[in-house]
Amino acid sequence: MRVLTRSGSAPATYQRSASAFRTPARSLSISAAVLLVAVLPQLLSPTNLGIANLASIAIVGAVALNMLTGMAGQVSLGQAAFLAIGAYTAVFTTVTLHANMFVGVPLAGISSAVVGMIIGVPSLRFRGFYLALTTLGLHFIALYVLQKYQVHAGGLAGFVLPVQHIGSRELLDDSDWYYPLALCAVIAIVFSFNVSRSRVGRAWVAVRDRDVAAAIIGVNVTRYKLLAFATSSFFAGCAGALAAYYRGNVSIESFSLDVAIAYVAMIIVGGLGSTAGAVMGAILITGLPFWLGNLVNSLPPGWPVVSHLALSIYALQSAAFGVVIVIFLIYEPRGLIAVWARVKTWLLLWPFQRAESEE
Amino acid sequence: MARVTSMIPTSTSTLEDQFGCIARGRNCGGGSPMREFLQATSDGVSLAAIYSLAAASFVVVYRATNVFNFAQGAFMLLGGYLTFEIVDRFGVSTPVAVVVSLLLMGLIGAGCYQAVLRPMTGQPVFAMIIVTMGISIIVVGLVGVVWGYSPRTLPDVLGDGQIALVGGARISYLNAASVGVSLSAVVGLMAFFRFAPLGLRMRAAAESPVLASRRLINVERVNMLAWALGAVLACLAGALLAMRVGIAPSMQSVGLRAFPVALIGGFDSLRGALIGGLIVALLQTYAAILWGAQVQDLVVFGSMLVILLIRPYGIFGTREVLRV
Repeated sequence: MRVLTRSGSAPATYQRSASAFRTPARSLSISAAVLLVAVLPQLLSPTNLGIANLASIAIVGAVALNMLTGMAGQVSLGQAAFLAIGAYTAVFTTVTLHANMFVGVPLAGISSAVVGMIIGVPSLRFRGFYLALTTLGLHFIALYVLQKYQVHAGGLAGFVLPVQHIGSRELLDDSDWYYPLALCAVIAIVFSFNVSRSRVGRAWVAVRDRDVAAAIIGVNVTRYKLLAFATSSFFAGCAGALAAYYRGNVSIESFSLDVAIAYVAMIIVGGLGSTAGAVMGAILITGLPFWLGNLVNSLPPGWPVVSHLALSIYALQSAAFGVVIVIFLIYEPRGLIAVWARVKTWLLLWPFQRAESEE
Repeated sequence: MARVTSMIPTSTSTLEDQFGCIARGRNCGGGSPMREFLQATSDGVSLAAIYSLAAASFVVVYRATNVFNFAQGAFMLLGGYLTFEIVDRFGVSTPVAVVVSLLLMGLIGAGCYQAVLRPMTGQPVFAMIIVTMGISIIVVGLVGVVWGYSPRTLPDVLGDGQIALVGGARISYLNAASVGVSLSAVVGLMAFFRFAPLGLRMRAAAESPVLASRRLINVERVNMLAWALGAVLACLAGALLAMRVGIAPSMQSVGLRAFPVALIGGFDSLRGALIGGLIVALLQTYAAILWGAQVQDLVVFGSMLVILLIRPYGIFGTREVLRV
């Protein structure tokens, strides 16, 4: 019990300070999280398990974008384009190479990373809004090219992908997909978390905070910016391919600009720069439309307003999603992770916390 | 995405494709290449009127508040639908409805500033961009909730008449009027920023909010008025668009094209909004004729990338000098 109630931690060595399991409480919470992920299929209803699967894919994508935008400070509206490139690489792997997802997902990552490197080149000159516009332009160009490919190779309606296997086991429903997708999410989380503790992660943060100063202390800005784009788009491509195999179909309409904004919303709602934040944001933003749908359905059905809302549920979901973005940016720009930090501080100081918070 | 079958009975093209087709002229196909070229130019110029207004809406907000506003596409949409609703519900004539919805949109723009932008003063540029995107998503979503996804068209008050131009090209009264409205609005704004006391205050507030407030300029009020003005311009563009081809939620992509327009002209330049609108609209119209409607976004954003690489501050924009 003492490990949990002790206030603050004081690592005595640098190694300890950078350790993933810095405090006993953290080891405990990581073990609890792993346990939770392992038993989740037993706890959730089939619908919620489907949301969990979508959230796993979103976690891979959000963690990827967080490495680029949160850690390295490079604004990108091109996430939907990277997901699309991943998904269409999966299509290409199936249609042309006749290979399964164990080839398709890594290949999607690699092709997306190559495009990411190219898209990263303008970031050497631009930052902020100009970079956002550049990636916006590339979003439209990538979508145009992929649409041409779709019309050329598959027809207007898009592609249907075959059922995937692991060994001899077919991946048919949500419970079959849960562990493979959760494993991918865990890999992405562990990778991102370890990068943030490494030399590369520190270089990214230096570039984000002030690139000129980073260059002066010996960080190769060009290299690390391009590395950030490549790493991020690798994982984004993987996420796109995973989503394609999971859903079983690919069409260009599912990669609109709204998707790119949704991913930006995930990392902002979670807390920019924090892997744990990206995970929380991905879960929240993925679940939001479903929860809102349930909420509307649970309203008394007699009112005309309610039936109108139920009819236009799609528009309502997208509006709610904008409301979440705006509210977080106004009231908690540092995201859910800051809320968590405040709760933690409150608990650690209990019962000696001050009546008003210090900020 | 909204499918339209009622407006062009034989095709299942989306409204956006149709937008490209109508940009090609009411009499698609037929005529000599020269005539087709002149017709395309005429239609491109009238399309430029809408683009210039949308870009001017962006420039006004940027010039006065230093915020890159991603919401003006959504404001265009809302303005178009509001105008439609007023005509539809109260049976007033279109010009009256436009004036009323301009006033309403001004209030909405000011409200957006008060509710969202003012509390966020001092946050990084990126957060500001995303919050305007958030506004945009909310507005588009609410438009979807209230009006659904089927397109609406405003009655064309000017009738079906056309003015003959050189070489057999024609321009409809409506398009000629849009060019006039847009030109006078933007030129009026240029004069406003140059001579009117409020315009000068807006420029001062953008240049340095701290110094401006020391000279007794109420920066927050000035910013609010700039947002109102931006929303009014966007609404005007939306109403013109609604009369031209009709309006549907997917039309916010037309609003997105205001960024290339503003960027090519220069973010802080109204003259740039005019010229940029002309360049983008003509490029898009010619490309639609040569390679079909689907290449429009490619051409528009491709030309934006080219400009970004060679002259990121645009044709008339102020060169940004970054000191470390």
